[in-house]
Amino acid sequence: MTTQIIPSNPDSIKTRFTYSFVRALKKLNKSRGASVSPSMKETYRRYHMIRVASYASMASAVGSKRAWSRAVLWKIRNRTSHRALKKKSRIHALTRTKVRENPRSDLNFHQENDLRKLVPGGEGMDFCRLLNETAHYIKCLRTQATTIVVVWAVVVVGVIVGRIGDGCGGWVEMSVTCDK
Amino acid sequence: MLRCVAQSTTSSPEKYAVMGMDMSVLEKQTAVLQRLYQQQEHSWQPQEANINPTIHQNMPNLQPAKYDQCLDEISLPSFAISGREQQQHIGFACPELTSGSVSAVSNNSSKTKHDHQINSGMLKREGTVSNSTRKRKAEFDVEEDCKDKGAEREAGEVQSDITVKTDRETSTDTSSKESIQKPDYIHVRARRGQATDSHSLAERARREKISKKMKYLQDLVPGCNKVTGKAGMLDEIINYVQSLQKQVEFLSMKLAALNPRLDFSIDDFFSKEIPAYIASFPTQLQVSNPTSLQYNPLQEGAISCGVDIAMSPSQMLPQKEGSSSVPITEVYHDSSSAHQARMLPTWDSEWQNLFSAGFH
Repeated sequence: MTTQIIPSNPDSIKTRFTYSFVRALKKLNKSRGASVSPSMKETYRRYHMIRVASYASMASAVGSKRAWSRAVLWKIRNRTSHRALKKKSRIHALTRTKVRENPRSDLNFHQENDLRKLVPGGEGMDFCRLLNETAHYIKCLRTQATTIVVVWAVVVVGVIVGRIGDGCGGWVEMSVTCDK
Repeated sequence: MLRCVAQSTTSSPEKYAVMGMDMSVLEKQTAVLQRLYQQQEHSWQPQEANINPTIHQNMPNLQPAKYDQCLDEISLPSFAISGREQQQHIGFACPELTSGSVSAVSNNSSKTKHDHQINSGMLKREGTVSNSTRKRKAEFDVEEDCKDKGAEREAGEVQSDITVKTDRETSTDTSSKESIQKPDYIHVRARRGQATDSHSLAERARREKISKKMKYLQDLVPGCNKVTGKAGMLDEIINYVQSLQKQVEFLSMKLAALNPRLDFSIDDFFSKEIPAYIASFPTQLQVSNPTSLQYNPLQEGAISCGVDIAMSPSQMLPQKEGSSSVPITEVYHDSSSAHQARMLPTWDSEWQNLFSAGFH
């Protein structure tokens, strides 16, 4: 591309997320080495890394203003020690009392608990704050999903162009005959 | 002599004719009104008052219906009501009379037939106070100040200029007063029949905050409008968050599966330009109701999705163009291996929306 493309809002969450996610993908790609035929395990490992990268870049794009982003970043940074902690806490889970039994919202307690589990960092908040965090979390998840779609599309197009550039005969013929 | 000026139906408060009325005529009017009070009482339709708060409220309350009635009987020779049937604005103002002057004005819109008119003998509209949604009580102005009051209707299309100063009462239903926000405190008057201690007040404030946030969430989550109640909405929200998280996982899986096919030349794609390009895509996502997700075999949905998605960016990148849908399908066949096809679910309708909406 010859022209310089500037995103419309250079400081939005979406832009920051895009940059960091693409950077992470590049790093992953480099570390991959030669193109080997992917085993199941390899693909799964890559999937896991890409997923973590997407959440991490999203959380870092949001910053530490939000409780859920702080929780995500904390979880990622303390992943190894966190896993050990989780195993221990599972033993105590049964004996642990309920997080917050609010007599006012007794009817919705079940759903409230589920929501707390879904939203990162939702355990230690009251219901009102939880709703705030949920709203912001939903917005960011949405931008995350749509942006990753675009990234994937660009990668697909790049793959196609790469194949054409390799001089695959059949590809070239097809691309010539089929018009845009 | 009473002079009546018919006016157009704009809400300019200055359309307003001041008249002088004789004392004797007024007394006659009063007598007539009293007489007709019972007759017209039943036909009065309550209306909501959206009157300027500056209207005085020290007038005796009288029903406007009887008002109409009584005025019918008064022969006021100088009445002249202008033409238009629907929208007449007749204003009276008697500023100087101490015993009160009458003015009842209503501006009829086409929607509501709220007539407050001072019907003369010439008018044939008397007495028919049709239904309207506003509650209003027209009254005599005993002490006058014939200020123009513009009445605002609730419904946008109803315009009624209450040019005559009438005494209005707000709705007599006991309703909670609005909370006046002051910088330090939020003053909330207790509703009728509810406790006033600080605990319940704080509780009520908290509940209102929560309901406000739930409304905001309702706008965020698509398909939440049909569900009412906190429990249903919470369910919807939980479903939506789960589906969004699954989408992200699905997409990262697709990226992971694609990557082995990447040549190293793809690195120069990921320069500064591409992320900027990506970020400039509008991300308006209209996701269909996530509860209607279906699990379809991956191939079909994924391939069609691949076609959709590859079409649009290829439109955007003309210089890299050369591919059409067919090789894209081929690529997709190669890259989506069978195990991947088995593993990943796809939500057909939702993905179609997602992909097509991502570029618009």
